[in-house]
Amino acid sequence: MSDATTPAGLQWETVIGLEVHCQLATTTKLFCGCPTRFGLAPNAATCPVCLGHPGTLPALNAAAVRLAVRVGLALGCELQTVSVFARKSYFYADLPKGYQITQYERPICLGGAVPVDLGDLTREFPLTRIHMEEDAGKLIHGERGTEIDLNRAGTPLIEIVSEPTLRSGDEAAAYLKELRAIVMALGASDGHLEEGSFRCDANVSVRRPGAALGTKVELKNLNSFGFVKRAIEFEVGRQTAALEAGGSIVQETRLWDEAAGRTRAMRGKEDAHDYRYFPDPDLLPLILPSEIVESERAALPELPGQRRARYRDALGLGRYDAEVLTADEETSRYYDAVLATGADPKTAANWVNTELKGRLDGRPLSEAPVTAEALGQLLAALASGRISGKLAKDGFARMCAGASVASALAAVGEQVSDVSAIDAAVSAALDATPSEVAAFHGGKTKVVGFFVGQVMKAMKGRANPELVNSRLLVLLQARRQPQ
Amino acid sequence: MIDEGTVIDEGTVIDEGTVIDEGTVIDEGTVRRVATLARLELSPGSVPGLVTDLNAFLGLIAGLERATLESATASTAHGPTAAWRADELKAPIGAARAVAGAPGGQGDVFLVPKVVT
Amino acid sequence: MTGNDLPTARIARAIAVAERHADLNAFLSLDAAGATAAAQALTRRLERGDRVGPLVGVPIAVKDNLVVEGMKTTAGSRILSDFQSKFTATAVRRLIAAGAVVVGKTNLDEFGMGSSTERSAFGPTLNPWNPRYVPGGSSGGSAAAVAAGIVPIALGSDTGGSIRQPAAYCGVVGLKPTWGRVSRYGLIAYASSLDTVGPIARTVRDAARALAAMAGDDPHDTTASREPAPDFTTTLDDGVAGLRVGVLDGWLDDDVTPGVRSAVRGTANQLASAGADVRSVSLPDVSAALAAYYVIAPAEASSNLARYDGVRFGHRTSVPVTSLAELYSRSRGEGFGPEVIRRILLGTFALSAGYYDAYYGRAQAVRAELTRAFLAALMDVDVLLGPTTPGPAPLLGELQDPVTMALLDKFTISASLAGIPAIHVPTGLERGLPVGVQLMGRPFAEATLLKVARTVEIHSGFERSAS
Repeated sequence: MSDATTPAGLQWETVIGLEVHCQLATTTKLFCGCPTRFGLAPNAATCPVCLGHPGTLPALNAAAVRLAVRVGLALGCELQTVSVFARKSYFYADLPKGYQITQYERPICLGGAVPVDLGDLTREFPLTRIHMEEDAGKLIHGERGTEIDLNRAGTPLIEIVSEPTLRSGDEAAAYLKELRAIVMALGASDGHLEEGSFRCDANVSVRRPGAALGTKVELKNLNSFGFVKRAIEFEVGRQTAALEAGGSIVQETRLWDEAAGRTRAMRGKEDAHDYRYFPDPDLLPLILPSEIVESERAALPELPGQRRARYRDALGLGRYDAEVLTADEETSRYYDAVLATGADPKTAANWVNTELKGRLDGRPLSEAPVTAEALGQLLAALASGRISGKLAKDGFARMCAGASVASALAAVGEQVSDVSAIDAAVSAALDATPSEVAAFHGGKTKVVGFFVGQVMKAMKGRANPELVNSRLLVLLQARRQPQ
Repeated sequence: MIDEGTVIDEGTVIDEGTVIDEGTVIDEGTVRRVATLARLELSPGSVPGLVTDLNAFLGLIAGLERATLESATASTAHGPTAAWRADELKAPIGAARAVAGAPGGQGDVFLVPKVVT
Repeated sequence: MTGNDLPTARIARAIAVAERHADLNAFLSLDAAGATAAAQALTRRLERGDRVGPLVGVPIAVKDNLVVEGMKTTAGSRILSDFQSKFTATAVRRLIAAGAVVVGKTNLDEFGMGSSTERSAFGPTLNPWNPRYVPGGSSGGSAAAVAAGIVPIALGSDTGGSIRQPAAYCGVVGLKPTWGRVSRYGLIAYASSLDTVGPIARTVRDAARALAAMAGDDPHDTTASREPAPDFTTTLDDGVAGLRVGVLDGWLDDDVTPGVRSAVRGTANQLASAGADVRSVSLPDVSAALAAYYVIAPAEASSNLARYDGVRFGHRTSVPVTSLAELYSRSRGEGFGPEVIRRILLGTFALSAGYYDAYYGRAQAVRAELTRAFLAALMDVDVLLGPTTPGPAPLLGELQDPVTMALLDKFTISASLAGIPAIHVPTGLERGLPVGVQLMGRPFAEATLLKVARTVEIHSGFERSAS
């Protein structure tokens, strides 16, 4: 089998467009007051409207419009003053009304782009559009037949459609990761992959560079970023092999089978896409008031990409630290709060990424045992020289066990920087170990560490380590026997 | 709720080239194709009558072609802008009531013959 | 209030009259027990001196495409023959809140698709003036119930004339309000952009009282207008002096009967002598409106009726099926009548790939043009006057050909497409059957329309009761 990375595969260019369905973080559904909460008992979150009962009408949720506007603004889209809900008609067991309310000819956003960090450079992947629509219900295939749960029917979604400018599974995965981080940072979506809040379909084709677009295949069932990457890579291999063997590609929908590591054709839907779209007469055109756009614009938070750039450029953090600190909203909010106390950016980054994350051991930052403000105070004591790094770690451990900053600092005590006290301890240590002193003078400089340990032990860990080091060297030098 | 004056939507511009072909005739194949699309099982004897009736309606509809249009725009809807709903929870009716009276209802779910994907 | 006027007495009378006229088949269901209980509750409130609404104790009938919780709602269709809604339509709820009592649900052409009430799955309704004739449709049961004296007010729905045309054939008042004036929540949709809920009544005043109770915005229908709803009854008797009335003379050149022609001309003369400024107005030919209507209404219907699939409510085939598609096709094929099937097929065809622009797109453009023409005409005049129907009611069984039936709506569909209010007022008889006139007004100017209608009513001297 040929693969895009084999020499034969290099003659082919991969063309990928992604369609992301992102659930908006509203309390209620798009057109009725039923909850969007995940995990309720089947059909518990339904009413005549989302069941499609006779006589019901859709009433648009203002919060969904706001969130769609927010995403559009963040991605630099052209917001449309007038957009129109249309009906997309098809019969399926998860679709109560026999049509889905979606936006077709006139979506709420056109254009825009997703800025994606690709190692050394940031690339903007352009978008075609973002439109609003309602989700369908869920089918459970059982022995008695197919059971229908309509809790999800009517849940608000935005579909974010990219231009076909992605070129590899890696780019697709990076794009999705970034887009998910953005909608989560905006509070527009909870981004839960496993609950279906963030779903992706990929349109994949291959062509000779410069040639017209090849026949595309739509990939579904891409439940993780890893699936997306693997499904695309498999599909590129399958398509190039078919073309190189003189075959052709059938335009179809294929499902990714993770267990088998391959895509397989989905059973063809009847009526091949005659969706009979027309404007929904129950919903007047969506006229976007400029006050909503402006208030959303004014409230736009810093996006993950902007934040990474700030951490790297303004704070001087390395790529790794910047990456880890912006991986999720909570971490960067915590880090920024530590910085707000006046902490040094690099020290704060180390403490958050190493000490704090180490203690959390994978648990979310909401479970952090120490507040950002308390950590900031501890780091201030460290920066002022009042405590050493070691004392700071001891203090941090006490704080994690529930101590306040003040009591933790009191417990570890102050660092001793008094030269005469340190000299006394150093002299006592040297007096007690003449053979190690001789070894030092014989060239075994490594024994300095041993002396430091002795001094620290004698001073209960409170000695200023830098002073101990420098005084040790001075006093050892002074004891050197004249040659 | 958001509110804001009357806006006339200029709507979609209709391509002047899209005119009804006066020769458009619905035949039995078309009736069957459309019936499949609309999920309507037609009794076998009804198809010829439907062909006649639908073609009679096409004759009526041909009046569209004769209509003079000053400006070829279709409004998407008339009237003022719609009110929006605040994102406030309303009590759902619950699974038992949702499924009550459903022809395929069973417990808390609706039931249909097995769907194969 | 005397004993005869108490709600209990009025409701008992209405039910008795309904039962006496059972042969008309105006009602699909009567709710004697529920109505009696409601009347007793209202009577107690009156006796206690509690505040009651302006329609206290008024028996009303409700077209069976408006859902009422606790009663069956069939839309005249086999597919909903056992359907019970889980809520009550806003319009009905408001009439009940105003003190009205629902005595029953009235017959209609299935899903409102028809002009004679012969297209009901539950048999035709007969015209109270002469049972050999149709009552019109689709709100034929409501019009017959009012004409037979069972109720003074009945609710109808009007998509292309379904209130006005049966009102004309039954000799009663029928008001189609501005689209958006009355909430559609709970009205089983036929063609959403045309559907309206309105009253059929014995008198213009009763129509005005019903509209006043129903009008206004509704959080459940975001297309319902927030336009303030005045008390339409207070200006009813203000007369027409100085009002400008445009007569649609062009519509009288069409093949209308002499009775209809003289109804329009006579009304024009009476309005002129009552002080109105009456002039001739010409508007586009009705054939373009008919054409647009018979694309838009079936197209929307094909979509609105997709939800009847035998899954969550309504009829499901009892034939064993092996696939979802078969379940749908059989349930729908069995549940829908021939007129509904025809319109779903026509609408599906008009929206299908390759035909959308030529049919739906162009129909919307024609509709926009027609709306502009009507609104422009209504800049120069306050109301338009013309025929409602080409003639009096046809015989039962006469309307076999669907296109012939469609042509009965030729004068009513324009106001539906333009979304403007229109009212039928009976003025006289032709061959022993009622005829009358149609008045059309500016959007949300029902008060003016009703005022002119009241003047027509006074001057026509029409004897209201059917035999």
